[in-house]
Amino acid sequence: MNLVLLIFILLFSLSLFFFSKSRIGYFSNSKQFKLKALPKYYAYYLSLWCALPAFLVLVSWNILEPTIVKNLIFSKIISNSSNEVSRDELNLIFQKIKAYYAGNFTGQLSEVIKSGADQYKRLLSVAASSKVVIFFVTIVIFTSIALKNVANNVHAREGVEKIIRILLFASSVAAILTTAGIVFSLLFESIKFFSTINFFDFIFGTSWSPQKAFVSDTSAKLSASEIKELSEAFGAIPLFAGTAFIALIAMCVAVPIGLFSGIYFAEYASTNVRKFGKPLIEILAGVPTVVYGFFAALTVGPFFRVLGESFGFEVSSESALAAGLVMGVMIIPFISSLTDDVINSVPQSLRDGSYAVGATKSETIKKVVFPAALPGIVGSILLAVSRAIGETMIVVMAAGLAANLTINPLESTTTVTTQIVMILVGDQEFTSAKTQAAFALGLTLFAATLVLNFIALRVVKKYREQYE
Amino acid sequence: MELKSNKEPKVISKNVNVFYGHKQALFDVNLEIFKNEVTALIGPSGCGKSTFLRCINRMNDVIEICKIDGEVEIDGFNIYNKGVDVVRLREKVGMVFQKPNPFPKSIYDNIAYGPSIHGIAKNKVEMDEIVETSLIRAALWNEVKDRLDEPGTGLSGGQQQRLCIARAISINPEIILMDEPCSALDPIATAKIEELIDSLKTSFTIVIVTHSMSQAARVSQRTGFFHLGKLIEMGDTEKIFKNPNNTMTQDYITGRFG
Amino acid sequence: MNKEQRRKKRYQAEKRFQAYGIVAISLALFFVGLLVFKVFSDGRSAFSRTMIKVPITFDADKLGITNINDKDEVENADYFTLVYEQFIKSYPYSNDKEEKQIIKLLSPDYEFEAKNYFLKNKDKLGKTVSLLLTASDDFDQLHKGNFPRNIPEERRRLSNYQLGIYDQFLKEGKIEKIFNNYLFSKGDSRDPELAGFGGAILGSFFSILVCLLISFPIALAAAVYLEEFAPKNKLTDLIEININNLAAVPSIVFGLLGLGVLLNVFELPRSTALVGGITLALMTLPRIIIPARASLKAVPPSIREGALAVGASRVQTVFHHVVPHAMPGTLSGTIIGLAQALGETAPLLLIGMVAFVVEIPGSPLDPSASLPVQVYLWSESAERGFVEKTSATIMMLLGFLIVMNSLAVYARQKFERKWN
Repeated sequence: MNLVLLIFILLFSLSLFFFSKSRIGYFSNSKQFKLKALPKYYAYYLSLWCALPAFLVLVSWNILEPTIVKNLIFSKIISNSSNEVSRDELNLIFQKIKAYYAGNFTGQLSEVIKSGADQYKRLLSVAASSKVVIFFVTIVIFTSIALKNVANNVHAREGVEKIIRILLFASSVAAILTTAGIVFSLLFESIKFFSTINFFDFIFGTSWSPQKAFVSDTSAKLSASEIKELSEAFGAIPLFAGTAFIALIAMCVAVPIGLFSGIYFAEYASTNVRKFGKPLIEILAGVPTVVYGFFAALTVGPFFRVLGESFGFEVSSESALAAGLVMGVMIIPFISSLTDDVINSVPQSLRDGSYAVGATKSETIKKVVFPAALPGIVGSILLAVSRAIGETMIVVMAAGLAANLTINPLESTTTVTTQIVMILVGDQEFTSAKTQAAFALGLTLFAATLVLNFIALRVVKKYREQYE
Repeated sequence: MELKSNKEPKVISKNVNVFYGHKQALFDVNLEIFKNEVTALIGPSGCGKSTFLRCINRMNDVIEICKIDGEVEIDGFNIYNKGVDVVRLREKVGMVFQKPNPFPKSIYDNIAYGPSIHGIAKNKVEMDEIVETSLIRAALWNEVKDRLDEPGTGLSGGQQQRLCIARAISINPEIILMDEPCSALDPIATAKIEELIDSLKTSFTIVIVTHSMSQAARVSQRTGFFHLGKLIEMGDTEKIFKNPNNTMTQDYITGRFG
Repeated sequence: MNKEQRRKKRYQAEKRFQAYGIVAISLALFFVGLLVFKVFSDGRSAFSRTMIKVPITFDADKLGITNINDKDEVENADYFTLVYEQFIKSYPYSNDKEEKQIIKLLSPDYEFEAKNYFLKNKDKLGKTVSLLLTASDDFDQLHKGNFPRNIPEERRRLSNYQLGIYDQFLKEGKIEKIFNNYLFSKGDSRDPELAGFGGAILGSFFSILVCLLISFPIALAAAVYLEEFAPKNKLTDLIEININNLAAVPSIVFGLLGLGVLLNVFELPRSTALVGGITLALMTLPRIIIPARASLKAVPPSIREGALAVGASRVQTVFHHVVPHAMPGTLSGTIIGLAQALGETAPLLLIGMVAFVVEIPGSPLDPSASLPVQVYLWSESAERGFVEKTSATIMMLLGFLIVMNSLAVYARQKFERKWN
């Protein structure tokens, strides 16, 4: 139905456009009437006013309809029921109603479900017909207004340009909407999570075993042992530690290699080396992380295990070392590129001053150029750290799933991102505490990267101001 | 070209030609610079005097496309010979630039940098001495002695330039090259630096590039006039300014061009 | 002389420093090379498929076909038993266990392969044909040399008996390798020899298409607004800060956004390329806005002034002159953003584009996987045969990315020359 309406409005506005364009053109030519704008602008004006409001109506209707229908059904169930119905129960009943309506319901059929399905069917058909009616009414209203304006020789071009500006503005608001969406969805689920799980148990707890959490649908009172189990199920410290640990290993690989290659490219490399070497290293940045993960899981992990065993160490095949190493390789180009840029922007006069005093090139770099470039480099390292802790696929595929609090890189640990994926890629009831836990983890991750990025950008900005 | 026959030349350039890529910047420059004197190089902008100055401490090596032909002898030894240690050369020949370029470090560290990499000071006490001496000789000590830890970039323009001079002095070179050291400074700071240059010549050989003829007249004992990459005339400052041999020199001095 | 020694030390330090730089670059390049080498050497074998030549007689009685023109009869004939009985004749066996081991050397698809052949060659009824049937995964891997034979039998996938069959077939010339078209045409499968990334390619294609259609216009419009029309006020600052932040948010958070809002609130269909595309679009928006703004900023003011001086309005100046001039940079940034979106896995995992999808999706509304998700799924499987398939998928993915990145560079160079 939506598709039909969409195609209709598209065709209608297009034909309106071409029709009015030629009519108005003819009109102005023959009657020698002074138009305030080119004919095409009147045509744009008409077709935009005809199509846009209707399109908006269609989109908002489609967005709002499911929620309104759902809430109408809920209120009916609540008014018909004699005792308190919880939110979770309502959702469950609604799922069953939808399943029954679609014809694939298995299980106990009750009056509530049957009458609910009847109501659902009625609501849907009413909604569908009202949608069509309102759609066409919108078209009629706005097109007539537009026609009237055109007849009164409105400033068509300005009108059209105003619409364009509004559209442009709306597009940039999309950025805010996205952030708002992220914050809203993360917060919403996290708040639900923290109503069951104690916040401090989460942030400071050291035991992460979500399978311990059996939160039933009914909000019945939890027994004492169940409460204790819950408090031990979602302690996120091992996750934070694992994330930080693997990120640390990654930085130990990426920072030396990245810094030295960046410095070499900026100060020593001939044009040819720069021309070919730089893009080659940039390739590392373009490789999808899932490829790195595959590489880590299939090649690097087993390699370290075999290597370790030959020295008599016990190395997990999903060691933090393997995951960290590969993550570090992925990060190398970030640091190398940024270091190169930052060092290039240090003014030549500083180098000249150092050479004139008889310093060698490496002394100049170590003692004058690098310290001068330090803020910029620190900023780039912070950005790289932010990238490392937000990385998902490498750790999902190469690091472990066991929440292990350790500083031994030969063991396997898990990270925040791994757990988010593991929780959500199973078949979970959306309202269970486990799913909500994933959102709570996501919120922590989002907040952490936000802070890191903010600091990094501030540092880089201050550095730029120093030299420009 | 005139020679003061009772003095030995410190620096001699022989048939120096300099190219930036295909463009030739200096044509067959032959001149002499004498010990413990201030020699000024003057001429309109773009005439190659800065390029020539940078040949003396081989700063042109830093520029990739720059090629140099000919010889530059310091104390009879050609610094463009194969295997010459540029680092050693620059210990002997210091440079002060047009725009003051103190390092983003403290005043103390700015001066201490040169001596520290050359290992001139054996301990902190000696380093303190070197820093103090250099700053005194550069006529900056009194103004900064209480704030040696503050960043060098926090000083005024004139003070920064004196800091750079102190930095050049700190490693005790024999020759100091100055590339338009006062062009970024106000008249009072300029006067201070000219005073400084005059006092320094007893210990160092100074070559100064300047586009201010009055400065050249005030400060130098010998002057060389460059035009379009060629050395037109060189001689005692008094003679050059009062009674030059070459008409082009005469025209430039009297302001007909440049 | 102490000074001499010191100078020597300093020059040695200089050489060491340079060496560090060269070592660092070489290490980084080594990793690049290692990755590429590993992927290509593992993935090459996926492009061929081992077949066993089996003489099959399309006996009408065995098949139960009385009338060759009866469509139903031909469709429902018993190809399974036909092939089964004739294949086990190709090697002597003495008990049930060995009989089972013989038939296990063929891929379970053999009845369909025989049927497809017969449907195209109905004239072979009653005749004997030397049919090429797909070998099982273990057989395939053995032939490709991936299974070591010198380990004890219990630790092997193929028994000694089966190895004997292999050697025999090899001697009789019954083993052939053909180009593995299944890799491209088929969707996912539990049997590695029948699995292909055809479904994943289309899934990726649809999701990137949706992503492009949504993100490009909105991003361009936002960039134009911010660069050309936005007043300098708090709201604009807020928008800019937002965009810079979003560009650095980890991609998994966008997956959470898709799950929480697109699936939960808007109730869009799970596992489809549509939802995947919208999620990717949200992630790609800032990555297009930023280079688009940079390109717009770089347009020389002289162009704007020239247009305004001729009496064009702001909007006309922007759309007729400024935007076209900024197109090379914008397009190049868009292609690069899309290339990044193509390689994304985490957000798609969370919105469910991870289903085991056998059918090739026909539209963005069908459930599907994407190329990177397929890599993830296959890498979790135990069969050795999936290793080469995964590497081959990575080769495809990298191939696409190389093409896209080169396109971006080319677009920038070609169009920039045109305007200058």
